[in-house]
Amino acid sequence: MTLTKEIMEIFPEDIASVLKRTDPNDIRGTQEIRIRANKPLMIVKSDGDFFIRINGGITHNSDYAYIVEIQDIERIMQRMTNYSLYSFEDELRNGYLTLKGGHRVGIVGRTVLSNEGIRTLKNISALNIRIAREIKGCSDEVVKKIYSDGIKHTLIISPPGCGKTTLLRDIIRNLSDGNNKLNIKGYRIGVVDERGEIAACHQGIPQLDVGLRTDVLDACPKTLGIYMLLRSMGPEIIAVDEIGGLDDAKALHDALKAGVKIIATAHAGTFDEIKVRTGFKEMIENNFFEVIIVLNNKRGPGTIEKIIKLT
Amino acid sequence: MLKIAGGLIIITASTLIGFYISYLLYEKVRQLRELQYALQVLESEIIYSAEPLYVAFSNLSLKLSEPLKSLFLDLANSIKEFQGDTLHDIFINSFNRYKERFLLEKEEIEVLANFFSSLGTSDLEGQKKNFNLTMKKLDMLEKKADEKRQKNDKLVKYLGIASGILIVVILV
Repeated sequence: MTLTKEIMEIFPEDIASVLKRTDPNDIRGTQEIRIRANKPLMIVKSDGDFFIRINGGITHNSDYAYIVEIQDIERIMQRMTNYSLYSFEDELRNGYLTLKGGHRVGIVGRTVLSNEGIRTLKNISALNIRIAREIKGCSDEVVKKIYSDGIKHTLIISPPGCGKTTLLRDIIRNLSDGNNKLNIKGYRIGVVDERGEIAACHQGIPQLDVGLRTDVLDACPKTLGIYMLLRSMGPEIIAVDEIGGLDDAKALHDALKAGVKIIATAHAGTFDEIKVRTGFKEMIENNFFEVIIVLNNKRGPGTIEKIIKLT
Repeated sequence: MLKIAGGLIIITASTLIGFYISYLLYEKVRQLRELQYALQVLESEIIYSAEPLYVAFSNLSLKLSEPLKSLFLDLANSIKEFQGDTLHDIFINSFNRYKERFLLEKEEIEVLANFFSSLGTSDLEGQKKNFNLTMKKLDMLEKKADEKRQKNDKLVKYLGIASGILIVVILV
């Protein structure tokens, strides 16, 4: 994906001009843009990372690279927040903010502590702009295979960076829109988007396509959010990202009693690994999930290793 | 007859000039006062509703009269279009577009520019301090301008009439 207007807008003139002078073919496929104080400007693609040259273009040699100054970072922060840093206090506290278009920016710096935990970040020293990937249609096959005869409780597992969230998002979109070809009717879906990665909300509005019948609770803790959705939005399916721990298991159990189907993801290498983790152990022993989808990275992110049917 | 008419015209003109200068003195005080009002409104938009600046500016511009109205509207649009790397740059550009309509002097413009260079760059605590400091400075400048106006108001008006009469007397 080349850099969209929403991304270019946040860069100060110096950085924007070196990026503009770089061949679009070199930029295509960028997954992350790394900005670190007094270090070279870096883009990360699936085949490794590259520095951006002072005169545009990409290189592996850091001697010719554009060096990011503290001032550049300050200016990016100003632009990203519409010159209104104070209106992004909560986001800073969490260490990330979402741009228009659903792109995520991770932020590190010096943390300022208060009694309740982290109060804010200052002296921001590095940014990681993660370009939102939305692969529409990547779930068609899975959806057809698993859901054409009804929705099932599903857990998607894989190590980080294998496309769990991307797959989950597309499953949500497919089930929410409905798809005649796959013999799926549209379902009401509630998404608890604790880390803002599924729908990538900017000021509360989903920036990525999560379907016509989807309600998103942005930045809400999963356990609270599941109860809120159950009470208020009457969903048929609840989708959550990265579950783990006993609290989540309990909330999911209650949702189950309310007759709602669950689609969730979790970090894990293999099915055997997750079987013994607290929280999951009980869920799997009680036959909570009906289907487990295991992803890996062998043929690029999103490769489906296997689909395990438990019932 | 012609002489009398000419004399009257000269006296009227110089009187008007005197009144115009006194109007300028008054207008400057008005602008400074409105600026303080604008900052108060802005402070509540920012501190209590944490609105981003372009929203706060365009809301604010509805409550103001010219030339501040145009300035804040221009600022809101420039921010939305990312027309500068810092808010300070954006302010300087926007202000230069409306410069002739403001009667502010270097000292006052500097206070404003300082205000804009820290606006939006910190958390709410820092913003509060910025507002307090700028309000104090503006209050001082307004008092100074008002004093100057009171002291010179009558003087320039009389001087206008008197200089007109003087010219006529010399000419006759």
